[in-house]
Amino acid sequence: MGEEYDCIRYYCTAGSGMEPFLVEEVKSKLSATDVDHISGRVFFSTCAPLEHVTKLKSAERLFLLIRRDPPISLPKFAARTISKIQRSIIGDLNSWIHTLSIWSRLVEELKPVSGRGQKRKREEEDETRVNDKSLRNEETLLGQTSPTFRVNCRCSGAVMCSFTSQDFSRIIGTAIRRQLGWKVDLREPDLEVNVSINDDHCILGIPLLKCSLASRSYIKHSGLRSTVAWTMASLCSIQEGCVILDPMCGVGTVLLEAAQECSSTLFIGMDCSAAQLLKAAENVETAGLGGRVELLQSSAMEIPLPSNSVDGVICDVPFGRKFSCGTNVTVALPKLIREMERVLSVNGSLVLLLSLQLSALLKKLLSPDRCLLATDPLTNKNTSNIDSSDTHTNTCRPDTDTHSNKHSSEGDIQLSPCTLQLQSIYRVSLGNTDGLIHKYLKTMYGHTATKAHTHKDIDIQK
Amino acid sequence: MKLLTHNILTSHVKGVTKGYPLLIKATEVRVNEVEFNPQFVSRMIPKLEWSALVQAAEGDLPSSLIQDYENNEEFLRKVHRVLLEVEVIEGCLQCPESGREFPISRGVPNMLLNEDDS
Repeated sequence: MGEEYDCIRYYCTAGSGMEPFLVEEVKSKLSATDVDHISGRVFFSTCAPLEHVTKLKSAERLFLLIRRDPPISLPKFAARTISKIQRSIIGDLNSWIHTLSIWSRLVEELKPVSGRGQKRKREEEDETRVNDKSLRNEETLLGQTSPTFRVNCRCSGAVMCSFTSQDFSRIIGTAIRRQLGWKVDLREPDLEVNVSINDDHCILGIPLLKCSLASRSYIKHSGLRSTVAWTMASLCSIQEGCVILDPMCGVGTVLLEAAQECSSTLFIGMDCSAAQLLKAAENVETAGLGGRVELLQSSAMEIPLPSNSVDGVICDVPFGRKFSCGTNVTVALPKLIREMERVLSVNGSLVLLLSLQLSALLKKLLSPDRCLLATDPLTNKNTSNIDSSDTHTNTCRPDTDTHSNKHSSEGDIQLSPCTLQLQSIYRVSLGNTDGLIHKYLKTMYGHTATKAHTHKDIDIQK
Repeated sequence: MKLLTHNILTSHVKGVTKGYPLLIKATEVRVNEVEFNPQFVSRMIPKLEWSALVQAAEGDLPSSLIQDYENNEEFLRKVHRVLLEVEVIEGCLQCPESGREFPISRGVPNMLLNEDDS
């Protein structure tokens, strides 16, 4: 029992849209093999120490895999159904015993050192209890402890016609108790057995931690979901010696997640709200990042930095109708983009998180080719003769604009964007709504976007 | 506000062509202890406006960058102290061209412009 680790098979839950990022993360950080994903879950095997696995940034909860089976098919005769379900779910007892021994070992690692003495004592008590019981199955006497457990079952699909999730929990719980000899404790069990049953699969696992990996110990005030913030930072390709700006940092979540990954980089956070900045300052201090994260009170539409001065800009653009300083977002968006583009140096990345509405608006604003604007199906007009500034006006003319409409919209088109080249768009779930992450590269001024990178051609990646 | 931040900040008052460097008028300064990371300091140096930093440091730094600074730990430590350990807690920054003052409170400079300046 030396320092070597066996290859262990885990799975993690992930927010919708995060799966590809988690796949990438387990491969690069944990040298994971046999990586596979379905909607909401990523399966992988790794020999990396548990401590590294718990530091994954794009995952939600972490589980040990007992087994992943094809979907359960219910037999025709109702009388046999329950025992059939029990047999298929328990299946090969060895998979359970094997996972239990891995779990016991890993749980030791997760405990602080002082807790270990207590665990050993409990093990001795449990063994006495096990020996006293009359058991059907001899395999439970392999010198293992008999943990207490509870079943957590999520079901959907065809099986729901006959049983509820609660029914399943009971059926499975009974089977585990009888065939494995584990004891049920609904209130404070040693471990939980997670069962996921639907038309595509039957997944059995044991969670390793009670709370999600997404709740970070180093963040005091939370804002944007940390997994999404980390993903945005990872898309920004942050190198050593860079200066990265978040012009609407709020409580600083994006900056904190970005700073975790890169130690020789300066992060500047701006927000117009002093209250948010106070929390951001506390977050920076809690995370011990005072040397590398600087905060300013400033408007993102008037950034007090010289042009071409930062290597990357990451921004979670507010989803509501107004920014916290009162400006309407649709009016402000062009100004915001123009400023972020200005301070970004050539070959720098701009990563934005946008609501569905703002994403659509931004696509119109940054269309690389005037003709594309003209063929916008909404306007339904002739292509070559169209004065594209008219179309532009229709979509984002400010209500209280003091300049003439044509002047302002033409000004916008000229500044926009041949310099911001769209690289990709990703759709992610933010809980009760979805967001779209847009990634842009700043190119040399006047460079026309290559044909491959029009908004129409980029597939929204899920 | 650290001097590293000050080195990048620019006044964007409307009509101002050279709003840099901002004049520092400090009423409260603190010196913190910040973990020394030589790589970080080495990487930041090329991005700095050295003369503006020297001016802000008020005598602690040589007027021109020394050669081969990446390997000179003593020099890097001096720069580290000036960039990251000296912090202006209260005071203001003044635009060199327009005279507009931006207050610094609790270490955070307020660069928000009013309606009339922007």
